[in-house]
Amino acid sequence: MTAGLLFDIALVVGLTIIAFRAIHAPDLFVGAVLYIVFGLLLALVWVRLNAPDLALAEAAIGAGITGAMLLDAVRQVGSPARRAPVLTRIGRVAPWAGAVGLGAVAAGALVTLEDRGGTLGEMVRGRVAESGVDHPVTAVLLVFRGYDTWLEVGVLLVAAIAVLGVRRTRVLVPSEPSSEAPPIATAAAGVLLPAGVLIGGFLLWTGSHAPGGAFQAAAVLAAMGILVSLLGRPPLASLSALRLRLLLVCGFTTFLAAGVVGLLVEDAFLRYPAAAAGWIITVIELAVTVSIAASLVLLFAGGRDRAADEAAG
Amino acid sequence: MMDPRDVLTVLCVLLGAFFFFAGTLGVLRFPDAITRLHAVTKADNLGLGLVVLGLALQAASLLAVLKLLLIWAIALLASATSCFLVADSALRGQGERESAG
Repeated sequence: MTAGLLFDIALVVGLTIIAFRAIHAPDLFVGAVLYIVFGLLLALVWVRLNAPDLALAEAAIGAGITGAMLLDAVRQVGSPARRAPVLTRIGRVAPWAGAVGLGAVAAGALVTLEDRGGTLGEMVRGRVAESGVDHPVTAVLLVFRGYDTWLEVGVLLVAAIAVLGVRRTRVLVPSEPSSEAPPIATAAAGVLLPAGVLIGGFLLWTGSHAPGGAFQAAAVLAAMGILVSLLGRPPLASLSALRLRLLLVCGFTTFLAAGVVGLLVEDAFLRYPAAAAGWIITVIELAVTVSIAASLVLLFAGGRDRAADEAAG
Repeated sequence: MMDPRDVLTVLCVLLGAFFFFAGTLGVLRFPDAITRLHAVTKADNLGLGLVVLGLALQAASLLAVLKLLLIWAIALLASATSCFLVADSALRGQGERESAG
């Protein structure tokens, strides 16, 4: 118990220091690396809070994919020594005041929290059998709060549409096959890719009864796509424009279709017929995984082809 | 009297932690990129390997043991590859600096 408490305190202190250092890093590259370290430590915090699902998502998306995007962005803008931003006094004080105020409100809410006898977690555990899956987190994400997840998938779709809008179909054009990719990296990718696809599939499958699920699986698959695009072979480039769009929208539309089925059969949006609930959830998760993975790869690839842009003038 | 398996686990994890500690110390104290890589890859390879070995002794099923070994194998592959890439880029950077200066 004491050792656990010591570890938690060290974790929180380390997290705060790294957050501060990331903001005040001398150059952008150091800031991006510290941000990745911050994400990994945050994943450890979720582990300590017994939330392995969130830990997986934080490590894969928060630290991994966002980290890759940040590093790539830093590579493209170069890593100039950070200029001291010119801020008015209000500009300097306002963020601190906002953060302290928000912290005070959150602390106040925590202190005045009423014990309503029984947490949401207990409610979920009590009714997880009705959901069609065995894992409470998946039950919340796809059944009890399916509406939220559906809209989250929608947000990601909007982001992907924005990238396509800004880049047009330029992300679809393969960049010059990179002669730069070192053979040893290509060889390692040859081993990692099949393993990554297998692990993505495993995470998706295991989500029905243990930590894992669509977001984590998609993050691993997207990481494989990012690996391929870093080796100079953009994974979405070989797709026709129509196929790419189908990949991007299939998650959102499948979720929507399941919602409409619920509306027609059960008189409520996103309420699945009990007999078929397990199957419907599996199909939604599959489609959502494909869409999230494609969107994440597009978000990464969409920021990359600056050289192609400049060549096109 | 402790179960000999538990003793082995504690020994392996402690030894693994030692390699992580030594590797971290090396990253902080060694003078250049190549020697730092030497230190950090020891932590990845031996440190993680010993921790995995220690945990595998406690695993409930063969499947869990295989998953732990898979984690180690992937970390080994990633560590060896990225070590090469970082060393390669560090050596090139050095060459450019020398030819420039």
